[in-house]
Amino acid sequence: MSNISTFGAFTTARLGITSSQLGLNVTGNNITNINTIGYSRQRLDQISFRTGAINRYSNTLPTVGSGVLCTGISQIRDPYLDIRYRNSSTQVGAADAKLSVLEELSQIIDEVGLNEGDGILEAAFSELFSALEKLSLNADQSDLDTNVMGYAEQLCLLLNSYSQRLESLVETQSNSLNTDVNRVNDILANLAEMNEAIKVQEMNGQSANELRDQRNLLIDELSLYMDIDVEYEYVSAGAGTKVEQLKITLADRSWGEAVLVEGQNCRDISLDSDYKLHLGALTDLKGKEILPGTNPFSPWPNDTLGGALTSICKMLTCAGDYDGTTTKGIPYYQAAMDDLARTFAEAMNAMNKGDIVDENGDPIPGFTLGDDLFAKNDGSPPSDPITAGNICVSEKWKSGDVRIVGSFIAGANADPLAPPAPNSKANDNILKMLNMFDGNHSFVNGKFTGSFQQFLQNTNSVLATDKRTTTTLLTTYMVAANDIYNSRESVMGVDLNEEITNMMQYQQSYAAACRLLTTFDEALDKLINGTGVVGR
Amino acid sequence: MRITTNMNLNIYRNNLSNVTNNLYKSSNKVLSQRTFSSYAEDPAAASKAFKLRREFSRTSDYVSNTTATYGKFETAWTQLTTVKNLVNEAANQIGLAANNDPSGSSRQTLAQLMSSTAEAVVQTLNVRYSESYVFSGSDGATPPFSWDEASGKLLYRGVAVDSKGSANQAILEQMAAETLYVDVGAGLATSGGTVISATVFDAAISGLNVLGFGVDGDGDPINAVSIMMELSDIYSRCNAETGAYDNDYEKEVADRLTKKLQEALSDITDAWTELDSKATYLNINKERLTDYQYTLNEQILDIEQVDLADAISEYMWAQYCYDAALKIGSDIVSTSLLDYMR
Repeated sequence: MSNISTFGAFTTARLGITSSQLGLNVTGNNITNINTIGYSRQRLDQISFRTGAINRYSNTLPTVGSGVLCTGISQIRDPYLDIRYRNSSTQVGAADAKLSVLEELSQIIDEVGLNEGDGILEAAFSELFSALEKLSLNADQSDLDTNVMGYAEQLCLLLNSYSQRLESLVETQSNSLNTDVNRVNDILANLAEMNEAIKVQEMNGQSANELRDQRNLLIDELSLYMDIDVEYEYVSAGAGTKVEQLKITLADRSWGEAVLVEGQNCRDISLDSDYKLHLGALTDLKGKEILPGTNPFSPWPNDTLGGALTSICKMLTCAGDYDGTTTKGIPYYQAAMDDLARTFAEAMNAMNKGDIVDENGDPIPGFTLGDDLFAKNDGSPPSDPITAGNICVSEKWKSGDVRIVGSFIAGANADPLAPPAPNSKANDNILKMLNMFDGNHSFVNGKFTGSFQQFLQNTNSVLATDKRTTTTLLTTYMVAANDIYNSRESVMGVDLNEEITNMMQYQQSYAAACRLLTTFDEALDKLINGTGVVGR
Repeated sequence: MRITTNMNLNIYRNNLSNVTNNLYKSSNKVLSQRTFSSYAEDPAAASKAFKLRREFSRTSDYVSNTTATYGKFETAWTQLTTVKNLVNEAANQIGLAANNDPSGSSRQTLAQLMSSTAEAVVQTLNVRYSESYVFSGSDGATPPFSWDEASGKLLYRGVAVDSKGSANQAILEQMAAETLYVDVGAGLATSGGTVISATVFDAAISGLNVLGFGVDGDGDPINAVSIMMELSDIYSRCNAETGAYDNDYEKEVADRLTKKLQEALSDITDAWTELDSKATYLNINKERLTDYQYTLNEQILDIEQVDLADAISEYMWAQYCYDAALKIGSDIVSTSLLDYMR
């Protein structure tokens, strides 16, 4: 011991006891937080304490340290793994959000296993076809026409129901998206507040490990919603002091740098009615605008946002082949159902009205037959097309004023003065309708050609393939994210065996320090009370 | 790599979730007995299954159409058998009278027989099936045959069947050519807005084609009923006592009409044979379609229905994995250094 004093060794023992005590405290903290989400294990930082360097020229005794000093409690975390985890998390968020919408769409459109395997809408088309087949045998029987009308009405109601459920899904997802945006804004505001708290705490010389854990948790959550870049800068806090400052920006910088959080400043995000993202002004904790007039590009293009927000926005706005986008969102399936309803209604209506023709197929002037079988029930202008939401059986068909025209070919009549009319059982037009039913029609702006039912199955198939691909992607992303999560956990996680080993170690070092104190005490006792008593 | 307690638990939780999910899927497969429960599970199989089911539904329609049409043809065939027998009997009676009664004393009776047979034939051919007249071509609402009250001539849907060289002849030809197509699964197709006749079954039966219409080169009616009515007129004009013809010309006409009645009978027999062959076709078609339905059903089941042995084996394996995961879990979760501290 250099600069040795009589009681200096007591200090060494005391420091040993203190550090062991602190070590036990840190271990206890680690053990009790083993199940705390986001907790990073902590470690007692200690250094060997040595004094008396100034006496080295005047003392020939070897230099010994003066014990141990605890310099702080640090948390063990790898920022690089955080970055990797958050990148992966963004992909998981995007795929997960998309899959949840696709799952909901499946619940509406996927007919596998329903109605004893025949499907609902699929079966409705087949039943209508069967009713037409029956009518073709006896085109003159009005009850069979009513039968067809009944099945047609059922088909219309089903299409209406599909349309309504898709519309409800849009509303639900829209609400969900708004909730997500609100949550993102909460996170951004919380991050700004935490930055301030961490700054104050660390400027006062205290560790802010727990606050940092909470902040990291929030950043992890934010990365599910959008693709972000996280940077830590050191900025001056005055008086030659520098403090760490967190900066979060949107990862995509092709439209400029969009800072979301910078220290205790943050900005709000919002969505307009077209689901376009708008970035608010950067404000401080009191809501005061920082650098007015320097807002980034707005609206921010949704497709570069990444994460769950982009996925849901795309699923709410993109109509795939109908609007030239690559994502087939809810509008795609709405457009497909409208396409199906319109094409079907227009084809049937076109086949049920026309001129009466002679046996050679030439029109007989002044004589027409039939009228529309399908109409709209939403009071929209006549020029608007029929959609899945408004298709209905026409009032004339319902009232019996219009029936399915069996034939437009005038039959032979004994009375030359009688108006031309088809024979009662003539059914060539119904057969043409049946042929049209299974014939080719153009859907999706000419990108698909097939029958009504084939188009329905194609729509199902498109959804199923998308769902399958997204499920595979999500699984892949989740495996990757899980691997990184485990890697991160490997660094920051608490291990019970390790902590118990530490606990035993600190317990032993505590006991040893106490024993050291006793030893010194006994040595000094000898010096003080047992020295110089010879001959007493 | 440092393995921590929670890392272990996290990996365990993920794996347990996977085996639980597999167990759920396997049990669902056994319970539902379906190889796939959503389109996304197997889009290709689901599309194929729906296509087959659609085909099955269409085939059921074709079977139904064929059965109904067969019913109509069976009725027509039965009625035509009656007609054939009636006309045959009438023709036979003329022959018998010629052979057994050279004096012609029975001609008044023959006159009665001819007219009553003609009436019976008309009534027989005015039969209805499923609320429609069978022999009315494509007009099921109008009875095919009736008598003109003024002239007593036979009419087909209001047009005299013996018309010649007039607009009525064209109308009769148009009526005789009427079609009534039925979709019996022969690949219904259209061309230029017209149904291609080869892809459908023509179920129109016209009384005109059965009994004949128009007049021949001698000015005699071709229609069997009209022939019988003319013969009846000639026989009724014979001497009531002696049975002699009114004049030689009438005898000549009667002989000629007798031969033509045989020809008409031959035509009726031809129509009867044609009906028979068409009914046979319908019957065979029905059998073919029914067989096809069985095949389709098998194909649907092949795609949709699980092989229970496979499904149960898969389920047992999933259950085994699940049990193993639980067992390992109890080992992972319970022990730590803490358990060995004294």
